[in-house]
Amino acid sequence: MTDTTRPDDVSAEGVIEAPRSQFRDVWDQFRTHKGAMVGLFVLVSLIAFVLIGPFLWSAEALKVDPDPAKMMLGRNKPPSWDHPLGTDSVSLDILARMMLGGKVSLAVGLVAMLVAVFLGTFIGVLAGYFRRLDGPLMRLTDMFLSMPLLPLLLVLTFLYGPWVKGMLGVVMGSFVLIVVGIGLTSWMTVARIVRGQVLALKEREFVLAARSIGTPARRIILRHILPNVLSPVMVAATLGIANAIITESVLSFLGQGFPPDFPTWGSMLNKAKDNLTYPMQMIWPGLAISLTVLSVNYIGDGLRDALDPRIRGR
Amino acid sequence: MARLAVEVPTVANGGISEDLTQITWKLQPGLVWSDGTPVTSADAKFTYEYCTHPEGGCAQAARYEGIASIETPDAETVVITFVAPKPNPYQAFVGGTSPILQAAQFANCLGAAASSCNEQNFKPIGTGPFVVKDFKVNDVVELEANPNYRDPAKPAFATMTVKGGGDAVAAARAVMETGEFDYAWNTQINPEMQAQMSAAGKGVLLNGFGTLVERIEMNMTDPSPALAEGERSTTKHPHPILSDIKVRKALSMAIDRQALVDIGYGSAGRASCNLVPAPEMFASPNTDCIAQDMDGAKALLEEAGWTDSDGDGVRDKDGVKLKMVYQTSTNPVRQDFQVIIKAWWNELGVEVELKNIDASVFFGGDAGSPDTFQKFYSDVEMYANNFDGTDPEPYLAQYLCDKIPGPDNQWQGENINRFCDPAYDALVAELAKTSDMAERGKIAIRLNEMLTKDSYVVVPLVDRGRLSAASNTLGGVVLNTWDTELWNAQDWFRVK
Repeated sequence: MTDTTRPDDVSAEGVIEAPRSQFRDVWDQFRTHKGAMVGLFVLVSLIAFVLIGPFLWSAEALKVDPDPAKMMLGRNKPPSWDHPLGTDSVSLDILARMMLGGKVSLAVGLVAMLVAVFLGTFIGVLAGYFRRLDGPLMRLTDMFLSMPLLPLLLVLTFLYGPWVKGMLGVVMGSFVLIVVGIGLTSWMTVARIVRGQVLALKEREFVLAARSIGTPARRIILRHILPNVLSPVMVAATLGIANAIITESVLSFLGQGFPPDFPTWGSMLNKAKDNLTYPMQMIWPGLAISLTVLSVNYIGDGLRDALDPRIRGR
Repeated sequence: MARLAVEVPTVANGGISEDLTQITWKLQPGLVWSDGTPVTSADAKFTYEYCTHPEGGCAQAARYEGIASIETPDAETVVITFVAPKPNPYQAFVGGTSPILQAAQFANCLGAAASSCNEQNFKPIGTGPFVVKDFKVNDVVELEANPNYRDPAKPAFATMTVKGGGDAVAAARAVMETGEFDYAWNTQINPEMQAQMSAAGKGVLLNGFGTLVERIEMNMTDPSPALAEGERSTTKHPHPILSDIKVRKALSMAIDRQALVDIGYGSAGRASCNLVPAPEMFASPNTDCIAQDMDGAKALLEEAGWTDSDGDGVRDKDGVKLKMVYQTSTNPVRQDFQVIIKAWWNELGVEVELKNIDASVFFGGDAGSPDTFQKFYSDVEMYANNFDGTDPEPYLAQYLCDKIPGPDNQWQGENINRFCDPAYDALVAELAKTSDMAERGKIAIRLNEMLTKDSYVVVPLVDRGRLSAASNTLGGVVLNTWDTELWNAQDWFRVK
């Protein structure tokens, strides 16, 4: 890296400290950002909640009691020891559904974001670095940007839905479809941001220096350019997670997402909003989505500061 | 009950001709419009001409179907002649949606001019208890008492305000909780809210039952995606599982309809086994399906050869798993029903995959979409349907063999189940020829049972009523699901 020696590595007396890894530097800077630390804590707790929670709490989340009398008695119950978050309109435990639904929502958000960021960065770097590819790739980006996202997603699931679901099963098939669909339709902002950054970076002296010693394009991109565009990508990625979670709930609502009895935070929220007699049923998934989106945004904020060498140490 | 006529014409009193091709209405003498001019038979004839004008596009044109001519021998007599015998001639000029227009007012609105006659359309001159004073589209209608109303003692109110817009919950709340309004119709709210609002004590919820029935339709043809497009869900391939009546019956027996009513509709619904739940003379007394019989359903499946041979909780037969795709439109009550019915069917040993489709697509009827209820690319589907007016003949005629939707008719048939029984077709033809009301009732009941308890092709679940809210201070309200709910507004009064 071009920035391995910095004035603050050397103390005022000129005594050289033990060498520090870059990761350590980033972490130290990240820790000073209070919001980011809180965000990280909340996100880790949420992930632990959906991953470890089901081992500790094994109430029924999917199968309705076939005995109508029992089922009728347990509907829409307020929180109790048996059901800490209460039960929903068909007597299922909301806590267990929150865990199951969160697993799906978080997975959709993270994986769709990864797909979008990978695609966006790839196209953005290619367009920014290689002048010949710039025109066609950016027109492609414009084309995707001008396309209405939701109809496109609906067409995608309509055309490939039965085939993918046939191959992978209903739930896994829906997951792959949604994740790929959302990823394919939300990479454009990342690509534009990255292209702009790369255009500026590739005229900088350190890139010129690297080129002048004969570094091949692939190495320049991977070693010198990518680390420097990381911060805007991080921010775009965090916003992407939030978007993906919400898009998933829209798709579920339109009947193109997961099957209606399969919980996700988005679909739980959607179902509960029509029945405000029991506001708690709406508050829990809403709270979870808001917390996820907020915490991820704060983490992104903290990461941007921590990854930017110009800010670090100030 | 005749409002403007002297009496209801029947074959017995000579008002309807023996061959059922003519009906004669006698207007009450001395009837006047709200502007004071007399109502004559010429107004009725004009209304017919107005609504059947080829350039007009009248929303109630169906009311005048089959009419050959309307004659007016004198100012108080209207003679309607039909092109063919009409067992149910009470269509034109009957009910709130088929009023008589004043010829003098609408004279310049014939044909294409109809749509530009705003003044006439918003402030029609009529014979009812109230006249329109002000009409604001999508907002409010101000009415005041008709000074020339035929009963001078009525109506009891000097003015009436009809407020539009808003949703069912807000409308119910305005009557039941805040008391701003005296009456609200179509206040379809869930049972919990019904209880909550009734507890406020300012009003009562009225419910009346019409013909709207929430049902599960069984697909008699194979919807398998493995079949070529254009062959899926067509009569070329009978359904591999649901063709067996025992399976259909078992699926119906596993359902507890009362539980569904309690969850979804409360007092605005009741468990039903009939496709035609009303009017009484056409409704079958059948209540076989009301009690849930899980053990009986299991035994029936065993008997039909469906056993769980590999111990995975799902029954199978000859290597075919008992698996259903169950679709409906997106709606919170329907999704609850889906989840609950799935639980019952799982208990039975049937694997169920749920699917919900946006209502505008599901009921959209677009031949290019695979998700319409007509295409029926699933094993069972759930929705509600009803019929217009009081005669179920056209409704029952939907299940004729030649009304099966398919690629050759752009999937536009009404026989959603692809049910086809020559005996049924013959009975429908007989119904069309029968004019005796008692006999018509018997045939309609028989047809209804052929679809439900004899074959379980249609599995009715809930007879959905109409729910309206009336303030405790409003008297004289009688809910009538066959006509406009303001049908007896002249009798309404303020309770002191």
